[in-house]
Amino acid sequence: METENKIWVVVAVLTTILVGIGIYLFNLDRKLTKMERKMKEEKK
Amino acid sequence: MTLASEIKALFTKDLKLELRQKYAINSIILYVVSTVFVAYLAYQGDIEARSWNVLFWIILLFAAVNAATKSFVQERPARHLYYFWLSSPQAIIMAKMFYNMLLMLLLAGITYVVFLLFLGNFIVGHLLFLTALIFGALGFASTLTMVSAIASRSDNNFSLMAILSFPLMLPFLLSLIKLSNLALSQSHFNLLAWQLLSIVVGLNLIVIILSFILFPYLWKE
Amino acid sequence: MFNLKYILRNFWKPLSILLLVYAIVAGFSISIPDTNIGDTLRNVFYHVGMWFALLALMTSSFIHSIRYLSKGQMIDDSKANEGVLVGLFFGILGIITGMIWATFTWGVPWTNDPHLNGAAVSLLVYFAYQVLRSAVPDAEKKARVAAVYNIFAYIILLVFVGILPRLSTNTLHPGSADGNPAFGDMDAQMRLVFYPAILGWILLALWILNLRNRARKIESDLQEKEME
Repeated sequence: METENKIWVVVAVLTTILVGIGIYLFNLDRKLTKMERKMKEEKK
Repeated sequence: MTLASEIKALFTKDLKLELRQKYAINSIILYVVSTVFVAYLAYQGDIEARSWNVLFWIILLFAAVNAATKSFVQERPARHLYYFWLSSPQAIIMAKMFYNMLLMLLLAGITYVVFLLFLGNFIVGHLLFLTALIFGALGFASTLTMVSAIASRSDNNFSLMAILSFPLMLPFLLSLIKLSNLALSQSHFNLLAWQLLSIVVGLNLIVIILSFILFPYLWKE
Repeated sequence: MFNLKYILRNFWKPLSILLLVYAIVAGFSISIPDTNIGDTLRNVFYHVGMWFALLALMTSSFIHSIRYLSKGQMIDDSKANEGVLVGLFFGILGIITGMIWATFTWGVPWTNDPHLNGAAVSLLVYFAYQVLRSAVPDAEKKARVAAVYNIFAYIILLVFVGILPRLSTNTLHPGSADGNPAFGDMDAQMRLVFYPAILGWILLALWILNLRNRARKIESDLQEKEME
């Protein structure tokens, strides 16, 4: 099929979006971890 | 006092109050007769079986919601406090539930008779239809009693009653409409009828058991 | 930061992205059975994932509601609420993606199908849950009443997702005949993509829930500090 080599472009776009969301969530996660640590230290 | 005697005492109290005032029964009869009469005038005797069936359950549902609202929502908080000191929460919810079951059975019976009188008879299997009606009325009663208890804990509980109860009633209502649709064309209990009946009865049992367990959490201030 | 405990507690978060990348790459490249809906069958890897994510979130919310009632800690109520909020988000995505798919396969976005109506009603119950929460001002009373209603809501969700669709004979969704509403007639190769995809969506949803719970916790801790 000649369409088969072009579907990879779509796959690449979707993968990029997904990895982007993953990195975004990961950063959010780290930020929350930092805040949690700060709260814990202030409590002491 | 044991739980059973407490339930019995509360149940007879509700029943006596009702028999003295006759408020709920009269308002239910009036509601059902007037809505069916409006439908009778609007359809001019030209109603088909499917709409007959749907109309039946919708009128019954609204009448049931109206009647069940009385059980907790319309009672004054002072009376709640009085119950609270008097008896255990399990006894209160069970007494209310049994009372509402009686009320709903009566309501279902009235609706059935009034429908047959005004809008004609479309039912082939009366036994199947009445079975659906009885278990449906019991299911309506238990669900609406619990929702009424939940809604009475909030601020604007009248509008909340409708919002909270309709999605919870839908599995009952859908099964019952399907079941009575069967009764409009056949009189024997086939596999589908048994399946639908067991959904209605099973859900009803789950609601009763959950209410018994969960009502004490609602009740404490 | 990179000790064993930290890794063990958090490895599932990037795993969700890894699984979903696999689901996209494999989902687009494998050959699928030749059915009358053509390539749109590949939607099953993504659209159905929304519903499994919803189910996982509502289950988590249900468990936290029970925990609130038995232990009485406000953190459990907040977790239950967040679970419903994220679940509604995935549910709405599921409805929208379902409508897009249905427009191409059935010609209309909405049909009178028990799956669709069940999904809509389940979402209605959880919207009612949100209305109930906003109608009770006192925090502890709200938590108790909401927890009770949430337990009923979960039962309704299970009935609509698990029981009613299996009974109906006129569904357009595949797989009703063998009694399994979600995975219809998939071949072995599709299943090899489907299960990891579902797991990926569930983990992603739980990650988002985890982030929201922690943000809410920090928020309430800060409020407590201001009060002092």
